[in-house]
Amino acid sequence: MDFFVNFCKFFLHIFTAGITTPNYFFMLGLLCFFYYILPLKFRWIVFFLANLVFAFSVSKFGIFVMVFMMASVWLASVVLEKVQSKQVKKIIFATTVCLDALILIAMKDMQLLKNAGFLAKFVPIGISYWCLSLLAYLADCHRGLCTPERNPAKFFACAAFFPIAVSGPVIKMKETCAQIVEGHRFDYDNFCSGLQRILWGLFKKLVIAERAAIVVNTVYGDVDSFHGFYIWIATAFFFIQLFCDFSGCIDIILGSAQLFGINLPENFSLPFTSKSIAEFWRRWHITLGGWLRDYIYIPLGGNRKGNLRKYLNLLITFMVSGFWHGGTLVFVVWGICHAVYQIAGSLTLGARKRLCETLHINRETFGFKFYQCSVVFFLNLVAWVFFKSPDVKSALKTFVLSVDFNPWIFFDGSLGKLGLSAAEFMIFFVAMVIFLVVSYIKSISPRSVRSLVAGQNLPFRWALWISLMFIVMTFGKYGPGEESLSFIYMKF
Amino acid sequence: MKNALKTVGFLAVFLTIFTFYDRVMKFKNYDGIYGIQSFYKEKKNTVDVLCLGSSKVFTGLNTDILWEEYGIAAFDLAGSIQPMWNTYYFLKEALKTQNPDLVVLESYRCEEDVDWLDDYRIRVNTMGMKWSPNKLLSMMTSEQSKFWLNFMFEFVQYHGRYDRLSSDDFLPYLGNEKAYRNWKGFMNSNNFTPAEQPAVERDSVCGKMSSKTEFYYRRILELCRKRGIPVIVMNIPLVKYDTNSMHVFNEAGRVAGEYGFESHDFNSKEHCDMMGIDFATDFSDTVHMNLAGSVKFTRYVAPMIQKYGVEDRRSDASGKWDSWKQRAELKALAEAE
Repeated sequence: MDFFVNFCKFFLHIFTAGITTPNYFFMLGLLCFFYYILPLKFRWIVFFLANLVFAFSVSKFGIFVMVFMMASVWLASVVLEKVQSKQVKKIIFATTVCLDALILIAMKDMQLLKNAGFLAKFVPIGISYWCLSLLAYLADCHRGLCTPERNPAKFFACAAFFPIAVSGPVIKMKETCAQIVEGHRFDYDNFCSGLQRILWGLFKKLVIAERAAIVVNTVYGDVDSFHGFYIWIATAFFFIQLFCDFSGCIDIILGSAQLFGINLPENFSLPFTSKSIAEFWRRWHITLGGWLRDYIYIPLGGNRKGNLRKYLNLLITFMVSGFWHGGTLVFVVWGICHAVYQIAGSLTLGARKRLCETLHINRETFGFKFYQCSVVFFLNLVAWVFFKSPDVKSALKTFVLSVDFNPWIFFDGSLGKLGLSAAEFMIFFVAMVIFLVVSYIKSISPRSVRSLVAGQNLPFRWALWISLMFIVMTFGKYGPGEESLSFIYMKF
Repeated sequence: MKNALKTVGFLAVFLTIFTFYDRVMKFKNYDGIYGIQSFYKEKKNTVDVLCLGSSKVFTGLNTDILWEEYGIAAFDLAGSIQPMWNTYYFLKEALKTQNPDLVVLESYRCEEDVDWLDDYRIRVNTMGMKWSPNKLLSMMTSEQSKFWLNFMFEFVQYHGRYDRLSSDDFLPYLGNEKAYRNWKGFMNSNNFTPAEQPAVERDSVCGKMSSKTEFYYRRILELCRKRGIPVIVMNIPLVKYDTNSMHVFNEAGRVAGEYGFESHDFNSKEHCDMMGIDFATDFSDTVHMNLAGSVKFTRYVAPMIQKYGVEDRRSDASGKWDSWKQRAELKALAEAE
């Protein structure tokens, strides 16, 4: 009997497991099986049920909040379509947005409050991501930009789509809903492409990010013992960790959705090649950036009301971004940093152009672009110090500690103190080379790397994918004793 | 059709490479994994005495002495800190190919009070088994359901060994043919930790086994009774013996009696004196006997084993027990060196 109970629990547990565990892939396999054996028009039911079980098994109480918020938006969207009076429409829209936004803020506060006690159990999985999608959906319905989904079950299948509840992306329901609720026929090439994307995501997360995390945790876990270049190395590793962790997670999510024939929006586009902070935000966390632009920055007036107002709008938008990330002052300061960078970049643009002309600097050369990318990288590092620190005071202390000239640590073996052995550093280095080569190919080719590989001969393709599988299997940091279950952006 | 063929081809290439990968990377612990892997190599129906239990079996019951001095073809099929449920599945697996005259069941882990094991214990007590329902059930019984797949996909456990690989992982017989070819599961140790004999006032109070332990302990006894195989339940001497150990063993002995099997707690002063155990020299640690201790203990219990009609196989000319003979020859060679 005990064994039978345990066996039943197993099927609940596979929905709560991290997306790098065998449980997740087992669940994905089961869902694919049921999805493709059902008739086309009923396939969305698999998502409806999977979302319910997923939300329930992660947070037994949170599902009530989730259903309540989704029901409120669904109801409002349906009513908005029927009501003719603009005044009533505005009231319904404003009330629902305020209600859901307040719940989101309250839930994020509860996430932060360690002693929230029983109330903390009501925080649903992925609220930060699907709530933004809900608000955007309602705004689009209000503006008449999309037709509301009348079937509440289909609405739930779409709004709570289980892969995006992990770490996004923030989907635009008006664009994605139709894909989720319509049935997709099995497409071999698309299915393989999804699996390949998942594999690449696992490589970034388990091989690169988890190793970078060791260095980051060593330094930031005991920041008083480190100074000078140690801090900057750790912060650079944090940048790499964050990117590989988040984009790896997104690759797994997008790959998972692709297995069902669903194409979710991209969240990253080679952010390390950004030549300005503004460009960085068009390449980093694209869906959140797009949401903030469409539903905060532009409604505030965007750049249509003069420079002063534009700068104020930027500041507000990035403060909201900071608050969304953590709700504490340190994240708001991180957001302000990015706003200040953009404002300063805009204010000095003319002067910088004139300086280049005076000094006869060709802005189109590789060298100049590399310099621009390096500046963006460094400015990001400064901002990431806030992002990584527990509070503003600690961040400022970290800056003080970082102002020290100790270049000998690169030569006297001191880097061994950072938690990675020489062999582990070597694995990290080789993995980064693979990652950079792939990124480079991506940057020069209009097609995706996977489609380029698909165009190669079969032995080469197989050798490549099988090698990558064994690299991930062997050098990935997962399994007992590893902390690869969680993703940084899952906390937001 | 073309896509199906491509998938099958891809999987075939992957699995072929994976087979070699698995062979090199997986754990090869002698304290559980390599023991049962060696057991699988034994010819059908050649193991006359099957010794089951925890590490106390493979450090206490000396299969070399049993063969050399008594001609008993015995095998120590045991694992480190092996709980009764893993022992049960080891027994089921063993009975697929063997029909022993006697099962010796060491009862130390009747004291087991946890329902779920740590990763190390699950690894050594399940990973050596061939893929079968027994292996799956053994894993599933040892671990909470949310971690089952971490053991079913064994590479999740062993993939991190890439920085610890050595010649043992690439060569047969763990790189030591003399020690591990035709190995019968016994692990000798020449270390010793001086100790004193535990002073435990003997009584006949029966302690309590955990419900899970008792359930599988009884299943072992039931299975043996069903197959008509007699069982001796024994508690091999240990330094860390206390009143609780004695009471739990009393219970184990009482339960064995229900099934008509005999039991012996060899930790009593009388037994220890008769076998000549010296606690100052015969233990490698507080639980395990060293080689000297195992020789004394095995000589003491061998006549009890012989009572069950176990034949002397040394003079057998059929070749069926050659692996025991070869094992003795290799051991003699190793000792000569």
